[in-house]
Amino acid sequence: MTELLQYIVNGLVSGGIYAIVAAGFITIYNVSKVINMTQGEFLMLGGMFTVTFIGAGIPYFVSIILAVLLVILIGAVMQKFIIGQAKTNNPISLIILTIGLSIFIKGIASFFWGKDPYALEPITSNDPINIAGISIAQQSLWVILTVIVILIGLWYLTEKTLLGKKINACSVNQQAARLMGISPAKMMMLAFAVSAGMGAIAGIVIAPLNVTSYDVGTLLGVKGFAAVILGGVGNPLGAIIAGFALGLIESLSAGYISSGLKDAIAFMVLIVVLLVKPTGIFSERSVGKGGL
Amino acid sequence: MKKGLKRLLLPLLLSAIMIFVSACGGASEDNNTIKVGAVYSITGPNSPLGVPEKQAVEMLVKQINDNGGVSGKKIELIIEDDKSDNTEAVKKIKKLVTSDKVVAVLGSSGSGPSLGMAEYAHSRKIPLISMAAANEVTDPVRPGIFKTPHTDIHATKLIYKFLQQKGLKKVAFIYDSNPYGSSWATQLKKFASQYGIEIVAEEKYGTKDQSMNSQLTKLKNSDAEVIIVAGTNPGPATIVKEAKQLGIKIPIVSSHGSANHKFLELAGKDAEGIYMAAGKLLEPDQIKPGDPQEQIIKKFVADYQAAYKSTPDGFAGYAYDGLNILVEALKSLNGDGSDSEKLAEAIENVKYVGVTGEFKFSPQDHNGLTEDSMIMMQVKDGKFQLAE
Repeated sequence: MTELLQYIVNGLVSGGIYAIVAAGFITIYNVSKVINMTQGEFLMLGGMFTVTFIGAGIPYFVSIILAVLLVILIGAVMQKFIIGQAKTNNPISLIILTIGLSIFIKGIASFFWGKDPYALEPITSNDPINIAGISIAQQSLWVILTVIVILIGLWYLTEKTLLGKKINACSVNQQAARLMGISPAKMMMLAFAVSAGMGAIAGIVIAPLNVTSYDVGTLLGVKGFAAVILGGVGNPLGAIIAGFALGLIESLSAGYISSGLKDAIAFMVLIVVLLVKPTGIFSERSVGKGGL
Repeated sequence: MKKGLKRLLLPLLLSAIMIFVSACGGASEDNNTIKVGAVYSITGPNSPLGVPEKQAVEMLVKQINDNGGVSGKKIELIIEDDKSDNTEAVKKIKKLVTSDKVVAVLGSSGSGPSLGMAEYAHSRKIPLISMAAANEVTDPVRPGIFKTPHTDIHATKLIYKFLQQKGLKKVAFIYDSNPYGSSWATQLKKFASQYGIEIVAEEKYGTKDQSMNSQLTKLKNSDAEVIIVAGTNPGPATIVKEAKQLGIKIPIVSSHGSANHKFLELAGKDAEGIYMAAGKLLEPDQIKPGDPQEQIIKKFVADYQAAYKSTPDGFAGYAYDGLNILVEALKSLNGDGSDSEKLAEAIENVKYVGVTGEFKFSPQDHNGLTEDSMIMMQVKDGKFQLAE
């Protein structure tokens, strides 16, 4: 029983990160119909910048804030000067452009930081907290707390604020939104900035759990993308639930079947879902069907 | 027109090559130098191994020649870069043997390139001393093919002996699924019964895996008394951190693949108390007084620091020993390395105390080391210290 609970706790921690990555994908997708393949790199940059700033003698929390701001800036600049400048609106071309950007960012990162891994100190100590025989790392609690805060914040932004309404308007019908005086270009830049910020925070809180290096973003990006597909493209809540589900499937299959097969099993579930319900478990909301 | 030109070019080119080759042949007849070839991975992913290796031999050649050479002859070392690539390594050894006419070859840094070079060296009967970890380089034994690094067999025996002393019998191990870790898994299973060890659980992970939580949860729930970790950075550091997070209290022993200062940096405070199988070169200050290797290690470290302003690692040591072993063999032949078979036999008879360990080669053993060349370390106060 404690074993099962331990696997569930492990799964929720990694699932929470997949959920944040997935939410980042959806935020951008809903506005621009672009799947932003640099999502994983935002996580990597967040962790690596923090390590660098701390190494330069800047206090821990200031480093985190600086790193997040810097990644938000990178996300916004990337949208404004590269993706926004592309001479096409075709989402497929833009997706390929983001794949190129992701490779570019990784290349620059390996040049800057080398290929060696780095360690980041945990927010509080690395001693575990024991509850009924299961051990939870203090940092894992921080991860789960961060995930919840980010997801609630994102929900509040999109559902309860005027800014969120504007973003929603763009995703429903860009032309109508423009007629109402909303600038889709600005909203897209905002979506990139929000996704970059969420990614950076996620990258920072998970780094102390193990190690971080220039290439951690790729796998996290792929897992987050899998969660998006599993939950249904365009549905934020579905993608978040799918993110947690993916983490749980991985952890439980590693625990009870074989640790070598955990990725294979997770992706097998994905394939089966796509065969049975090609739109994903929760399907696409009506969002986006009105326009484009 | 074009065809005619080609017909004319080919013989011209051929004759040019012939003249060039014969000129090279003439140079090697110089009786006052011994030509030795070396192939290291100076660029590419194995460059952290190849660069210190190159630096160590360059330093040593200079020292030997300044002290009068080998039996009055100077050593001329020709170093090539295999770019961490198997095919490139074979090309480079072919060049060294056929056009430079070296008496023996040192290298390469990685196991893949070394295995390819060993095939070629064996077919041309040129002695080869490799710096690669893979046990297959000298197992099965082939005439003329040698290697200097420790193997996982030595480390396995050392760890099991240590566990015996501590009275720990039930072992769980976790290994990287790459060739390094898999070879460890084989050896750990093979030697367990000899030392009265019972393996109660085994788990593996991928080199790029972010988290080994699930594997460690399984090991935690086994009745193991000790966990052995076999992998190279960053895997063992992640495992050590996550073991702490999961509240694993039993001792952890890590392989020499993580016996370096990067491990301490990555694992930070969580490295405290971890046991580690390591070469003596890791912490020269920790060598017991009177250890036969004490003198040569201290000399090597001092010389290397003077030459390069950095502390040598195990790889530099492998290369240093490789060239020294060859020099010992050449000395026994009065500096005459022209007969490859005699030279190979001479290497087999070398007894040499090096920085890696005490080498005692024989016709059955072309690695020449035992588990006594390694020591058990423990991380205390953020430093590697001799384990009690």
